[in-house]
Amino acid sequence: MRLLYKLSFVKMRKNIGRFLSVLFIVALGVGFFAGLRETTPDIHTTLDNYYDKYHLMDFKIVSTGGLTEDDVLSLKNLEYIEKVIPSYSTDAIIDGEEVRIHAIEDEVNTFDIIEGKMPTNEKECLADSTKYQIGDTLLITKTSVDDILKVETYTVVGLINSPMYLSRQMGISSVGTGELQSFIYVLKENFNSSYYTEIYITAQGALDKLAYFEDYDKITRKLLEKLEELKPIRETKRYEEILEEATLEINKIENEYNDQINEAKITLNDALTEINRGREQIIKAKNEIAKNENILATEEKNGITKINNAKEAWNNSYNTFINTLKLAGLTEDTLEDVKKTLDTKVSELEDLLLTISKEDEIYTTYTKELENLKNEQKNLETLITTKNTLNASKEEIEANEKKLNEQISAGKEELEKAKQEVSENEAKINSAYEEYQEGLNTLNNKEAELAQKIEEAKASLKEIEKPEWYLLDRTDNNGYASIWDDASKVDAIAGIFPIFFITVVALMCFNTMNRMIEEERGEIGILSSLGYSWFMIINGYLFYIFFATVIGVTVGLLIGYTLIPNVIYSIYHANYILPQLQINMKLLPFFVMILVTLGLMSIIAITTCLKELKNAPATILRPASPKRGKKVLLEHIKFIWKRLSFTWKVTVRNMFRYKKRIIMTVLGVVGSTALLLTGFGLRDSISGLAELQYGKINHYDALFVMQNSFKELDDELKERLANDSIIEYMPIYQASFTFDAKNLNHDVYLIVLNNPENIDTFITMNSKVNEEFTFPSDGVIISEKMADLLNVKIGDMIKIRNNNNELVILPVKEIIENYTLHYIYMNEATYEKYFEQELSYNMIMAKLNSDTSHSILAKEWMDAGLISTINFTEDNIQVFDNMVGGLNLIILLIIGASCMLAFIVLYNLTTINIAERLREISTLKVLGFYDKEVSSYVYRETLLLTIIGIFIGLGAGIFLHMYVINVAETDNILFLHNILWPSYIYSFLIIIFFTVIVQIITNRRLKKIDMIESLKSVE
Amino acid sequence: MSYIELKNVKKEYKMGEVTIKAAHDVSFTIEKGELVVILGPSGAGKTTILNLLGGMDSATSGHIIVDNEEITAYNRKELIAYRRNSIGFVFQFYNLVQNLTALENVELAVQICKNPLNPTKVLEQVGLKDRINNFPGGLSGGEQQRVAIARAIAKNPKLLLCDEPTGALDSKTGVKILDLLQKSCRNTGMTTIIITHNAIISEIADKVIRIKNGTVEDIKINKKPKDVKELDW
Repeated sequence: MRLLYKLSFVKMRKNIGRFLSVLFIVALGVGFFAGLRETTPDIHTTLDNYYDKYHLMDFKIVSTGGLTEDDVLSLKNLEYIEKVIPSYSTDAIIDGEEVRIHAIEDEVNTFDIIEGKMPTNEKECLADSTKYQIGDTLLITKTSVDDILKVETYTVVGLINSPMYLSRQMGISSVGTGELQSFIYVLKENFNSSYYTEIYITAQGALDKLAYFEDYDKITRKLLEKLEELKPIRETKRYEEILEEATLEINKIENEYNDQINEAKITLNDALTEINRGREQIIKAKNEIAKNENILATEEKNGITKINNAKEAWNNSYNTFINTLKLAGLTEDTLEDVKKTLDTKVSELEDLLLTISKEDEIYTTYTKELENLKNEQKNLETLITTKNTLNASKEEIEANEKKLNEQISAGKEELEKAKQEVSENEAKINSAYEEYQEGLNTLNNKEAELAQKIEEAKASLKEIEKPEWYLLDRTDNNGYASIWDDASKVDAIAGIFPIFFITVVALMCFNTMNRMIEEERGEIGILSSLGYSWFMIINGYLFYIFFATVIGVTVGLLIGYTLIPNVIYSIYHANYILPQLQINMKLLPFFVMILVTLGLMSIIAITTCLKELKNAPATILRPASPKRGKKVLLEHIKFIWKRLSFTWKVTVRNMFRYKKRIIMTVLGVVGSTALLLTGFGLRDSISGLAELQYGKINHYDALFVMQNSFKELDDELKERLANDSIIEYMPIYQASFTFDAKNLNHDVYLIVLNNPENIDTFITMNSKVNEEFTFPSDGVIISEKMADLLNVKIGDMIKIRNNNNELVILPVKEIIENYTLHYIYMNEATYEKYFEQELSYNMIMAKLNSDTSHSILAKEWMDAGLISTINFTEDNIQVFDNMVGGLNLIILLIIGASCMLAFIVLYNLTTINIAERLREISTLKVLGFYDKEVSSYVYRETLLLTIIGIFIGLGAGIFLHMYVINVAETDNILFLHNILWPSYIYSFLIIIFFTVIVQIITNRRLKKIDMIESLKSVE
Repeated sequence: MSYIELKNVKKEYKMGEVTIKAAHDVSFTIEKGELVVILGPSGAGKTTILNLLGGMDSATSGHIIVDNEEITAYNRKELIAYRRNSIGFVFQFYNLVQNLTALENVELAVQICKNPLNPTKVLEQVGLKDRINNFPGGLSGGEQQRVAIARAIAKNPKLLLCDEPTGALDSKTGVKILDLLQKSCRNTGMTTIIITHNAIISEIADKVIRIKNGTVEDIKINKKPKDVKELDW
């Protein structure tokens, strides 16, 4: 027995090519099968763990009326509920982009911190790792609810990924263009709101269930029913609350206003009193001034009279004096001198008298004369005294006059001053009065205003709508449902490819083993004749198979389990932000796979061996009689058969002689070719898309997203648009909506055109249903993939919702060619009719000069503060290519696998072909066929079969491609359905290439065939 | 100079470390049109000599000259051309292509050589006029060997080499085949070499070369070769 095992090893070593080909066939088949089979479960586990680890909510409640602590309490009392966590979020504009801001929660909707740390204060935040960097400063310029945030500037301290945001398309935003671009998380305390914006809910036991599966749905459905029961109750409660709050608020406002008005009134009255008092004082002051003026005037008059009287008296005295002087013959001026002279005379005379005796007559004369002189002197003295008195009194009079004048002018000055003061005060009072009048007006206005406001508030109270609760489940997260949908597609593809592979692989193994055993017929005969039981002989082969299978399955599973799920998963990275894939190396499938493969291979070995072993050893020892040549059908068609050359005849006969091999060759080639064509076809379906969508269909160059919406272009805009770089332009209104199809939420762009007649300049609309496209005057145009998803035709209605979940129903009038995203187009009239609101445009679509610098244009408009951003169509091509770029990997995988399949199949079959026809080949060699002739004799058949296989394969490939496209197509991309001719050529050439490679390899063996040896043996 | 000349021909096979001398010091000559029998027990090296002569194998040393051409100096391609144009082979086990009719088997050989004979005529000559469209599987052993001979003759070779042509046939059929070979040799003047271990057959030859242990034991020229019918089985 040990010898038989040893023999098996020898066989492996001796014909290592055959052993390896069996091994690789098994590895390839098993690897592909297991890899594709396990991809979806791997993704499923990865996703479920991701959701569980970060406590993804099961439900979210939002309400148009906000949510309160009472709502939370009543929710907590529900059956099946686990956690009820009220929280906040708001949509905001940061740096011109729409960003959702969430409050950080500990127990629900947590996140994976990729880098950095949790915020420790209110100025820090966590941000979307795909968009931001640590240290970025985020300035919030606008929020959907005013003043909901306490802080406007945040610093990014941590980067996160969240199961809430799986898809790179994040959904609808209530601010900006309507397309949500990113998200951040801030501390809960940062929110400044009297109500909660949302409540997150988890269901009891949901964590243990696998997301997406029926078990999970069952558990959550029970809770959903309870939630739906609670919904109307809470809605009514909340409505009443809001009404009450609003009424209270109105009252409060009214009171406040009234207080203010009263206060104002008091102030005004005080002011008026003050004014009046001022006025009285002024009048009093004026009277005083008048009185004082009178007194002054009287005083002046009296003074002047007195002075005049004094002057008159003095003048009389003076005149008398002058007259006296005149009589004495004196003048005023000589008076003194005369007196002096007289005085001298007197003294002289007195002196003389002294000398003269008294008796002297002279004396008497003299005495008499002296007497006279003395009298005269006395008179003179009197005169001088009078003069002096007169002078003194004159001076006095003059001084009095001066004093009076001074007194009078001082009085007058004082009075002037007082008058000025009074007039100033008067002016002040007047302006105060004006102010007072104004205040009075304002007060009156305010009173009117208040009355109106209260009126309005009371009216709006009646208009308050009943708040509505929205019960959202996980599918509300963009990406939650679609990633599962996409992963399920892999399952669908996984369903066909492995069956295909396994079939070919099983056939190949069968063929190889069959050949091996047939070749070793002699050996089996010897063993049999030596008395080995058939069990033991078969065992030898099983040993061989065991080795090939175990190694093959192991290699195949290792590669298949790791490579294929990762390759497919990496494709999703283009559209989703995902955690690392968890590869599950499942042991059970491993053993099942080994057992099944082993079982299959054993059946092959046993049946083939038994076929030989049922004969007596002697018969087995003799070689099997060759199959007899047979005429084929074609030979009866003489005119064709005659024309065939020899080798062709042999080829044709051989093809019918070795039917099994022929079928396998054709099948193998058909499979490889079909796969290859599908691979290349997929590339065609995707790679041309961006060019088609953004080159041929949406051929406008730029979309200006305006800062302010407008009804009509104003002069400033018109002037700017008259710029050289802008060839044509059209105002449009664009907004994001959603629609439901096949249980999934899809985003759609609604575009209203200002001037639909001119649409050809910007967008080429090709009707998919009518011969000629016409822009409907009433009704909308939808893109074809949307029509597909909704299964609508012209005349049907479609339902779309905005971000507030408000429904609009529109009639479809035209369906147009479109490849990526969904669009609804309409004119202004249609919009206003169905949306029941006036339209204002928010974007401008433009065709640019080809040499326009995008960055300069954008900067100009941004600096002018007119736009929030520009979308350049050219950039979309890039974005799109990145998005589908991942698919190229799966295409490579398919192409790689088909090449491997082609190689193994062709190599295997060619080797077998040569082995089976060793004798025939040797005969040809002996007959003097050159190597080339021998090769062509042998290979012609394979080549012909390959070519037949290729053509059938190309045909089959078309169908396979169609199938794969239908399964793989994502919901917002319409793949091109036709395969371009180079793909056919590539597929053809690649298979031919492998055929030739295989022939080059096997040709060496062909050359080495020892004709002497092979002809010696008996046939 | 003879038509065919072998001088000190040696053939060694290396089987691992052992060198097997299949033939050594083999020298003989054959004239044009001669019917030669190479006689010897099995394993004596007859087939080796035939293979060397037929260009199916190359000698280790020595010279083989056929019609003034030294075939020992040929390369692989020249050897193939030599087989193609100058040699006709008949094997013990016929080696017909199972998938071709008798006629086609002949045509297979004929289509690649320079001066072939008419395949149908040759098949008629070997007595298979009625069987030309039969597949080998539908023919008896003798008939198959006739097809093989026809295939060899139709090439119109310089040399017809037959390796135990009757080895797989019963004696009656064997006689017929030998008769055919002898006749064709005499009628067409085609140099024919038959290898056999059967000494009786050597009686029909013009020249008998005995081989033993890989070398020529003796060469005997039959002055009066017997007719096949005269052979005593």
